[in-house]
This record gives sequence, structure tokens and C-alpha cells, in this order.
Amino acid sequence: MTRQKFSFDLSIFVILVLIISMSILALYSAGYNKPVYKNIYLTQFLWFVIGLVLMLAIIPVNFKKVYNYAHYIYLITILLLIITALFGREIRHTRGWLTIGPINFQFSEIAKIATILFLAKYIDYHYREFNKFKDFIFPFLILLFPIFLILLQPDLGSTLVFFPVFFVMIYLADANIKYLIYIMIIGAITIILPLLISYFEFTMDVSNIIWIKIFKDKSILFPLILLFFIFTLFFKIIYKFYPKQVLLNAISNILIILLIGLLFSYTVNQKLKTYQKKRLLVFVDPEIDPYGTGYNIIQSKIAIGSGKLFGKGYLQGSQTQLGFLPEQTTDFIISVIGEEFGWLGMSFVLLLYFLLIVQALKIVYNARDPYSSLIATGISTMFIVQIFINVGMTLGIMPVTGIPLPFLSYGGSSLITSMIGAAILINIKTQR
Amino acid sequence: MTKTSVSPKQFYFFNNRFAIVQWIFIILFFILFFQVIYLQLIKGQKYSDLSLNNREQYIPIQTYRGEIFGRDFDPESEKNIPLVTNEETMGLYILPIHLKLSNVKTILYKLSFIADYNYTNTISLFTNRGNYFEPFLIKDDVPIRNIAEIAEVIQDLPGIYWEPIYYRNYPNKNLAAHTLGFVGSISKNELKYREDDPQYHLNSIIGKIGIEKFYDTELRGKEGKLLRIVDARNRIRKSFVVEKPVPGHNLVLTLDKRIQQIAEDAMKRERGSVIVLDPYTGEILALVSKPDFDPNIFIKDPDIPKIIELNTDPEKPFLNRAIQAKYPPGSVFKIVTATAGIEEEVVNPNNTYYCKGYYKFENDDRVFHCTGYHGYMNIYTGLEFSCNVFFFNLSYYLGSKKIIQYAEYYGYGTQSGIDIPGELPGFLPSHKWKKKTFAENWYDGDTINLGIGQGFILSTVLQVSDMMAAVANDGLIYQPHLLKAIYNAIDGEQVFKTEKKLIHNIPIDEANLNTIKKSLNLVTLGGTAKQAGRFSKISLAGKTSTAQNTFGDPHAWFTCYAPYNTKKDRVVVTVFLENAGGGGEKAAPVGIAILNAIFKGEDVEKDKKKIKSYIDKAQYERYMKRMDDQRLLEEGFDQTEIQF
Repeated sequence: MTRQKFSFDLSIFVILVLIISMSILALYSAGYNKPVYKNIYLTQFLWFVIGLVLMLAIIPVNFKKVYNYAHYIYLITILLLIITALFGREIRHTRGWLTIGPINFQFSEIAKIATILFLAKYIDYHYREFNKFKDFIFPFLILLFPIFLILLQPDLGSTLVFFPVFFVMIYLADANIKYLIYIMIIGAITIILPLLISYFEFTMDVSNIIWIKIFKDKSILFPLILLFFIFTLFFKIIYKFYPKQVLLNAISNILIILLIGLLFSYTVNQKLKTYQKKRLLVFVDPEIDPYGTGYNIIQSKIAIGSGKLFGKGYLQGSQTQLGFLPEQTTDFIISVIGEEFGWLGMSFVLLLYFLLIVQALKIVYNARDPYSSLIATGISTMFIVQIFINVGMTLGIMPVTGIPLPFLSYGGSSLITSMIGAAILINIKTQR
Repeated sequence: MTKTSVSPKQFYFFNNRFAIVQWIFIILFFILFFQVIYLQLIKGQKYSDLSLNNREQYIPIQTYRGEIFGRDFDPESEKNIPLVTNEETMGLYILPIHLKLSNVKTILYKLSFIADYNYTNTISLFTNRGNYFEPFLIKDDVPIRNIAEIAEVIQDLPGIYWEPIYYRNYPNKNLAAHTLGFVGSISKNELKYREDDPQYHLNSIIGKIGIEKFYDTELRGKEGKLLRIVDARNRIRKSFVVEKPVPGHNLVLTLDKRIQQIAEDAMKRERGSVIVLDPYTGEILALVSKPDFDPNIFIKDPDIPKIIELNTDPEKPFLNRAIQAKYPPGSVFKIVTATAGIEEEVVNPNNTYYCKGYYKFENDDRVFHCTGYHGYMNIYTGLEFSCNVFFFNLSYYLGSKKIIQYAEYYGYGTQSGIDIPGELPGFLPSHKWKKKTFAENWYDGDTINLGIGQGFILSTVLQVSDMMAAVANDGLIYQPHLLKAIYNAIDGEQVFKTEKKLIHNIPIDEANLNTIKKSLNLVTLGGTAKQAGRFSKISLAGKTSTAQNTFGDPHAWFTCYAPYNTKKDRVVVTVFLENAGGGGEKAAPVGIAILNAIFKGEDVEKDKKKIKSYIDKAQYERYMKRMDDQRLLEEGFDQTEIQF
């Protein structure tokens, strides 16, 4: 073991140091003309140093210990999330911050890793056994606890990462494709229906559209759902006695999926705040909110687009230096690189991320056991989802959801979590 | 360690799921790569242009509104004293966008030590305003030395900047307030009609009434354009002038400041209007409407309580009584009837009608009263003593159509087209109108009422003035106007000069007109205006009127021209006093005093007082005499005995 510690592969480490260097450069530029943000690059460097120490601590850890303690780690994180929900500090509309001494920490970030560790343990325990509907219930619950607690804060963006992570992990664990498709359909209904309704509400007078009325009225919708449910039960019972009627079973299954989707989308529609709906919708149609969230997208696209091939030069980007970019130190950090270093800078950063993911996939494939492989799967999915949503958002092809960019966005919680993720990947690679 | 013994590597080897995940990840990256190429390499130029627009703001530069001068303006001289000018002050602003309220408070607190203003008042004004995006004027009239002090510490005061403000200034305060008008912020409605004109925007200042409104386009000039490079917090990084502002043209009016002042003084404590004009050109020398107001209250720190007070004043000080109100003309209209009578040969100077104090139609109980018991009256004495019965008879024989026709010749019922907004056409009745409105035929009673300027007819003070101008100038009426010329403010070149314009030509024989002139001269010698007329230091011809109206005491009119015996320097003076009483007793003294002041340089107020006290005394004596007569009669004395 001690020999392996010193022979660990440097490729991932080199990639992340390069990305973090870009981050420090971009943060220095973003704060260059703004007294408040003047020294954030130093703060970020400090977090990087702390992250390095943590990485060095994690890399040599025996993975058996991680496997044994995964559920404790998960429970402690859930506890921290509960404390956050109760006593959290509110920064930018979200009570997601827990203050420890001089540091504000966002435990919704680290909760992603903790959930992956525990989920991997459960999936590993039932490896290749996800064939029935009931097999999916417990792993889904593992997922729902942190999501529920994070939604209380409320931080919609952070929860979005959990679903694809779960999906990819369980998919690679050879789960029954039928149920995965069902889950996808339910998810699609849950997301699309409320957004469709909101879109109609923002753009036209909906008081005369009947199906929207039905959807929004509990006293009509719930009896309707109940009626469908009775029908479904009826079909199921017939199917029990006449097992040859496969069509009946298929119809009843489809009905169940639609019902669950409808129920979920109703809840989501009630829970989503108007500004959140707007955020999600401006991606479809920026005209809905041109001076609110739409403004962010437009300014970010202008910043990146105006960088052209070579960029405007370091510290020369007018969008960045004159402060037209909103939240440019956190969610929109890559637009600073896009503006000042142009297409070359953007491509360089994206290439680094690409290499990181390639390395992570190699680790998934070559891992010594399914548990390590699943963890690597979860972490690499977490990375790529965050990268795709965040960069896609700054490029105007993804909705604004407030997901930080791993290693690049300003913020200790995000950086530490990403570095821990990278450390775990290196650990798995080393111990193979 | 784990439950499964199978290595994931072997497992993935025959499972294509790993490959699918791998390919999805790669495709996601390709989407990002493609979008980056699209934005930066294909659409780069478009976004580059947009980023330039972002930081470039075009700010209009306020220009210098043209000044307004009186008729004494000398284009060669540089020492002309304007009637309306601008006051340049330095305004201190804060752009609060992106600043926290607490920051704004700190900044304003710091600044209050340098710029010397009340911090608490300013901050409450700021918070009450509620607008966080537009500049807020902290203080105007900031001395340059204070600006210099602020400039030294500007680094600690984000959002603070200063810009010159031009305030309209009316140095003569109430003088000719209705004519000159005033300016104010553009209203939404006003802006709507000017949407296509880039010179008008939400912050525009626009003429609201009077000359300021009528000649707004000439006066306003062209705003300049300032290009400012700003950051997202609207802090100015650089600024330079792209388009220089063009100052507005200077106007020279026909108003004579001296005569205007005389007329204003003569109208002190009165309610009504005075017009002095040149009958040969239509130039208005003075135009007074009382009560009036000080236009300065609208400009800098608007005096809201005062404005509200004036707005709700039942005497309507904002009403320009010379053109925006219509009144029954009363006896001054007899000039029209007389013109028609002579010209249509219904009467000649030898015709007489007998006045027994009233007039009655056959088969009609109604009695039309005269102002007195006049006996035999011809056209001279009819006008001189303003005998209603004479004109009742004349009107009856003339018929209403002829009277209306001549009234139209004189300009009644139509706008003169004077160059200030809001002129009313007055009202000239017709048979058709009466049928339509009252479902009644035109009666002879209506005709004879019209003949003495009562009944349905309504006219503006300006129309009566124009009528007298026609008498004074051989039946010609030139369009009354206030603008004499327009000068370019930069090089002093004359841009425009008003040419006189004939608007009415009354077909009247010179001999006939002389008859009327002679009668009007008699009015001031021995007629209805004889008491005031005896104080006149210049020969004149005029006509009084005591116009009955349904709103209270009769209106007092006096319209005249002088000098009577020479055509040189002839002016028309029309005095109208709302609900003041008799024209001879109330209006004529004002008119005579104005003429004395214009031609002989008398002190108009003293003169007016002198004439009025004489009339009052005469009236008192007449009253006392009547009382005595009555007492003596009651005591049984024969009137003849008093002769001793």
C-alpha cells in the first residue's frame, strides 16, 4: 500500500491544477475593477491549499474503510443538512449556508459526494439485481432525503445534479431498462408539464384554457387521478386472471406512469416560485424576462461571443471590467475566460475538462471492484452534469439554474467538494 | 470486500451500457465545443458590436433655449434686455443604480458637508421618489468652488456627477405673463403627438402656454449628444461631446415693454384685459390679462402651494381674458350696426328716431329699455349717448342678416389667428343655429338685441380691439400678431420677419366711416365717456359699453383709438373690466389714463386715480342732487324754487 501511495497517476492532478490556475487568473480579472471582489482570488487560493491538504489525506485511505463507513458519512451529512435547513444563513435568497467561525460552508455540495458513496454501497450490495419495480424504491429514497432537505433551503440547482448521477450509476449496474425508461418518462412529465403551463401563463391569458384550469384545480384533478387509479387497478386485476392479455398490462403500466407523473408535476408546479419558473423558461424564450434572468444570459453570450478567436486580452474585457456580467465570479466565471482569452481560452478549458472526464471514465472501466467503479461513475457524472449545465448556461443553451462550475467557480464549498471528488478518483486509480 | 466477485472490467466488456454512457459524455462535450465555435467564431462580430453598445450611452445635452425680446430689440447692440432669459446653474446629481440605500445615505451625508444642503430632507425626498434607475438631482445652484471641492474627493462618492442646468427665467415676473407663457416638463399626451421627433423625449422641457408654446419649435433649438463610456453601475469612465447643442432662436416680439408696463399698472387691482395695438400693422404693443401670475413659480423649485392656490382661484388667473374668454360686447357692437345702417342706406345722418326711454313692438308686451330718455336721436347722437332705442329701430329696419353680415366683415365669430394658442372665435348667432338649439324661430327681439351687442353674441376682447382697428385704419384689419422677427442666436442673423397680413377688409365708404369716427369722437367729448374724456391730453375716438350678462354685474368696455386728428402713431386701446359696472365710469378712465401715459408720459396710476375720483365725485353729486330733488318733492316744494 505504501508504495502505491507514491506511484499515483499524476494526470488528473495536473489537469485540476491547470484548471484551478485558470480560475485564479479569471477571478483576479473579475475582481480587478471591483473593490468588493478585489481579493477573492487570494481567498480561492487559500481554499485550494486547504483542498490540497484534504486530497493528500484522502488519496492513501483504504477503500474498505470508505465502504464500511459510507452510511455513517451519509447520515452525518443528512444531519448537517437538517441543521442548515433550521439555522442556515441566507445568502442570495438561499438559506444554504452554515457558518462555522469565519467560514460559510454550503453542505449541499459535499452532500453530493456523501450520497454517491452510500448509493454506490447499496447498488453494489444489490449489483445486477434491479429487475423489479420495488428494487428501485430504496435507492430512490437514499436520493430523495438530501434532495428534500436541499429543496427546503431552497436550492433547486444543486438538486438537479442528483438525478442523472443516480440514473447513470444504476444504469451501469445493469438495472432493468424498462423501469429506467419509466423513470425517465415520469421525470419528463414532472418537468415539462409545469413549465409548459407556466409558459402559457407568462405569455397569454390562460383563464379560458380548460386543461390548465383542470390541472390547477385540486378539487377536479384529484378525483380524476383517483378515477384513473381505480381503472388501473381494475385492469391489473383482470390481468391477474387472464395473464395472456399482455395489452391490458401495458395499458395499466402506462396509466400508472402517467398518474405518478401528473401527481409529481402538480406538486412541482405548486412548489416552484415564479422567479424559478421564469429562470427555467427564459432559456426557451429570453423575451419572457429580458431585464431579469434573460439579462444574465444575454450579457454572458455577449461577453463570450465578443471574445472572438483571441479574446480582448487579459484584464481588457469590457463586459467583465465594466461589470456587465452578473455573478461573474461564481456561475458565470467561464464567460470571463471566454471574453478575455477568446475561443482559444474557452477551448483550452473545455479540453482540460474533456481530458478529466476521459481519465475518470478510464477509472470507471478499470476499477478493481464494482463499488469503486460505481463511485467513479457517480463522481464523473457529477462533474460532467455540472460542466454541461453551467457552461451550457453561459452559452445560452441551458437554463439558468445556479450550478457552479467544478474547480473554476469561486466558492470554497464547491472547490473542496470537487477536489475531494478528484482525490477519490485518484485513490481508486491508485488502488486498482 | 464487496458482495460481487465479478470485476467491472470484465462485466463492462460484454455490456454495451458503458459504451453508451461514454458516447453520451462525449456528445455533451461536442455540443459545448460546437456552441463555443458558433458564438465566438461565427457570431463573434455581432456580439462584439453588442458589447460596444453596452458601454456606450448617448446622453442628451441640454441646450440654451432662445431668449425673448421686446420690440426695442436692436440687432446691432449686445445690450438688449430680454423679457425671457435662462439662468445657468450647476446641478449636483447622484445615479443611484446598483448602489445600496445605505451607501446612498452615506454618500449624501458626506456630501452634505461640502454642498451645504439639508441631509434629512434630501434623503426623504430621495426615498419617497422610489425611482432607483434615473439620476436624482441632489441640489442645484451649487457654486463652482463647491464643485471643485467635490471633484477632489469624487473617488469616495460613487454615482455623483454634476451637469449644468438651464432654468427659464422671467425677470419681469408678472409682466405679460399670459402672453409670454412658461415652460414645463413634457406631459405624456404632449409627447404622444411628437413621437416621431427625436427632439422630444421623456425629460424634455416644453412651452406650456403663450409664446413659449406657440414658438416652441423655434425657441428650443437642438439638443446635443454626449457619448459616455459607462460601466454596468453607470459610473462614467469617459465622456465626450458627439454633437454640439444648437441654441434656440431668439424671438423679438411686437410688445413694447413701456406700454405693457403702463397697461399693467393701469390694470392693478382690476379683473379684465387690456389690448394696445397698432392698427396699421396689427402689431400688438401690449396685452394684459388680470389677475395674473408669476411664471417663475413653475420653473425652479415649483411653488406647489402657490400653483394650487392659483389653480383653484375662482378668478381664474391663468385664463388669458384677451383671447381665451368670450363676453357679450354690448354697446361697442353698435359701431357694427351703425356701419351696416349707413352703408346699407337704412339711415343717413339726417334720419332721426325718437327715444322715449323704451322700445316696444306692436302686438308684444315686452319692453326693451334704453339707458335714458334721449328724445330725437340721429346717428351721431345715437352713438354719442349710446341710445338703445335708436339702434333698436335701426336694427329692426336693417334686419338680422345684414347685422350678422357686417359683424362677419368686422371679424366677429372667427379667430383672428393671433400667434398665441387658445384663441376663441367668439360667437355670432344665426337663424339656423337658433332653430337647431332652441327649436325656435328667430324673433325680431333677437334682432334688435343683437343690434346693441346683447343677446346671443359673444366676442373676445381682441375682436373688439380689431373692430376699433378697422375704424382707425379705413376699414382694414391686419392680423394681430406678437412676433416681429426671429434671430439666429449664434450669428445674430435675421431668420424670419413677420409681414403684415390683411385679414378683413370692410366695404365702407370713406365718408360713412368718417361719420362713425366723428360720432366716436363725440362720445369722448360729450357722450358716454365725457367725464373721463375731459382728462384726455390727446384727441381720441372711442366707445363705451356696459354689457349686461347673466353672471353678475355688467362688464365695462372701453375701446378707442388715438390720436383722432392725425394718422401718425395711431394706436388702438381696448379696456375690458369683468363685472366692473359702467363702461364710461370704470373702463374709460383706464383707457384715457393709458393713452395719457403712452403719449404724454403721465404717471398712469395717478392719472387713473384722478379721473376716477372726479367721476366718483360727479356721481356722488348727481346722486345727492337726486336725493335732494326727491326730498324737496316730498316736502312739497316746487322744483323751480330751487333755482334761486
